[in-house]
Amino acid sequence: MSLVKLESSDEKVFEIEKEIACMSVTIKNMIEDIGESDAPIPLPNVTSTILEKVLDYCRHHHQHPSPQGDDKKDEKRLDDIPPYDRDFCKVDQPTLFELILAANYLDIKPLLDVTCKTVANMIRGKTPEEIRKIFNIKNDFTPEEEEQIRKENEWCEDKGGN
Amino acid sequence: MTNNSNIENCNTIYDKQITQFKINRNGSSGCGSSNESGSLLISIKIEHILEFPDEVLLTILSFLEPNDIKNIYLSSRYLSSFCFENKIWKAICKRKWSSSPIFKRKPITNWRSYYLKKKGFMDLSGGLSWIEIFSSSGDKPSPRYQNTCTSVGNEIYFIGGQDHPENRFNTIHKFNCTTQEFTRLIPTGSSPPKFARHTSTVIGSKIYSHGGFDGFSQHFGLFVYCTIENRWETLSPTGDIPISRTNHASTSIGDNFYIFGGMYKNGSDLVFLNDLFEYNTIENKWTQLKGTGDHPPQKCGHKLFNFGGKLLLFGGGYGSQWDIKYNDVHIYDRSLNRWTKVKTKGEINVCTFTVSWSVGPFLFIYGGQSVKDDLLTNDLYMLDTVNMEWSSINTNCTPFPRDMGSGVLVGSTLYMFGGFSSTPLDSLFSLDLLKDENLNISPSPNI
Repeated sequence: MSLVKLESSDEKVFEIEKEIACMSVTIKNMIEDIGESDAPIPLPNVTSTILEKVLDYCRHHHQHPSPQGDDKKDEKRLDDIPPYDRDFCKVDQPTLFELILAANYLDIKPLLDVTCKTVANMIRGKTPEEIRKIFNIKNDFTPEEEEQIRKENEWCEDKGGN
Repeated sequence: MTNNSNIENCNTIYDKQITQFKINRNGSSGCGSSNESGSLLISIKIEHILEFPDEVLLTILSFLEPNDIKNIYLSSRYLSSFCFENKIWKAICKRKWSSSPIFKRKPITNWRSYYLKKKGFMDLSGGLSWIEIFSSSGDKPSPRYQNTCTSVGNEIYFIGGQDHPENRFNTIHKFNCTTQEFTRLIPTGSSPPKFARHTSTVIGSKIYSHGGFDGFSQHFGLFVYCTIENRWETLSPTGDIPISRTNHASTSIGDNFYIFGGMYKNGSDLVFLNDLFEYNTIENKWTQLKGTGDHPPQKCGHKLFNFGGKLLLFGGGYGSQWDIKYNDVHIYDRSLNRWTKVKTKGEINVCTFTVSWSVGPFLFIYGGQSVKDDLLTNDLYMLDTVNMEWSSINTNCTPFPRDMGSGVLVGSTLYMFGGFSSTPLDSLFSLDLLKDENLNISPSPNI
């Protein structure tokens, strides 16, 4: 299996099987554009710490492919994150955000989905105030606006169980 | 509102990336650290969830349910601007109801609206309520069945019908949904025949009536009633003229209307049909469409609809004892000239002579003959054409069982008139789908 070299923003070079690297659509396209080359592919948007984690993720999923056809089902289920992915996402918030940015930049959909799902899980069931606290978001509504929006927004409520 | 729609429309990865690059360069993504040197760099680190590119934020939000979207909406002005995006609501709908490939290319332009409408119909608390309209003013049609019922603006037109196999009507009545007044119309031009079991299809301000039978010996062809001129006219079309028939079904797409199936009497024999014709109102011309694929069998008392520019055929039956019964759905794609028998989910227990309404992506079916026995029904079913699933809709004050009634949608209200329930009926019912005023939604055909 042929190898490719990837260079992180802090100029560390990683060598990895081409097939694994190509789980990133961005890298796959770059390789197709450049053609076979020994020169490392520069990834100026990903630090070595994050790139290492991303490559771990790709390696794992390359060795343990999810059964075909189950992919779509998984997408629908919100609570269901496979154990490896769950552990993978057990990182501090800045790291998780960096992983999301990397997954987005490298275009690795399963990784983007699982990291975004993890953030979504942090939001699930929380009040607006709790959401602001978790993500350090400033409440930029005036109390009057907030009341107005609360009223307007009543339709959104899924009363559940009906 | 954020400018996400462009992003969502991008299909290829490259487009996505280019869009992201552009956004970052413009600094419009809320991402604070766009690179001033002009190189296409995306920030490596962000301090804050609000700094994510729009598309990433939308991906996160698309994993949330409506309750959580509400809380996001209330949490910050910036985040609230994402909460109406199609990507989020499409994901919610797909998780909740999945979707069928049959109308894959059909554009749902507003997934939130689709969610709220369907949720509103399915939500049992409160329920939808039938209201019988007792109109004392004007000239109400006498009890009848197998008349047609079509609407132009907020006026409903009732054409023909019968109260006995040998007593058929040549009347046109109008009901104004605003004033709730009936008017008997006396059209100029040729006189409408005494007929029933015909079809009526509205195109613009004109109602095209096709077929029908006088109860004795005469079948009829094609007529047009102009609602503006109050004029009834016999048409002499060219092309592949369909044999005159009864108990068929029609619907329009653009300037064309389509008829499918039905039956006619040949001497004492009943001949049942499964042919499809297109009538072009501009050229006054019929064309027979011999579609490929899963061609539907011969049938009568079925219903035909336009969903997303495709024909949807529901139910029907035939036989001297109406012993062949169908509760299935076929789709005809005009551009491919192909029929497809659709796998639907859920249950629908009626087949022939139902009352039906199409409302946006939803099809409502009331009454008609049961598929299980020969009894008449009064259930309201809904077919969601997005996921091809039948649901039973609970209603209050449900009218008693009937078949051969007529129905039409005006605004957000289903109207139903007449029908047969061991005796001809003359009651007019309405069912307002906008049961909850807070929902502030109007079922429009463009969702």
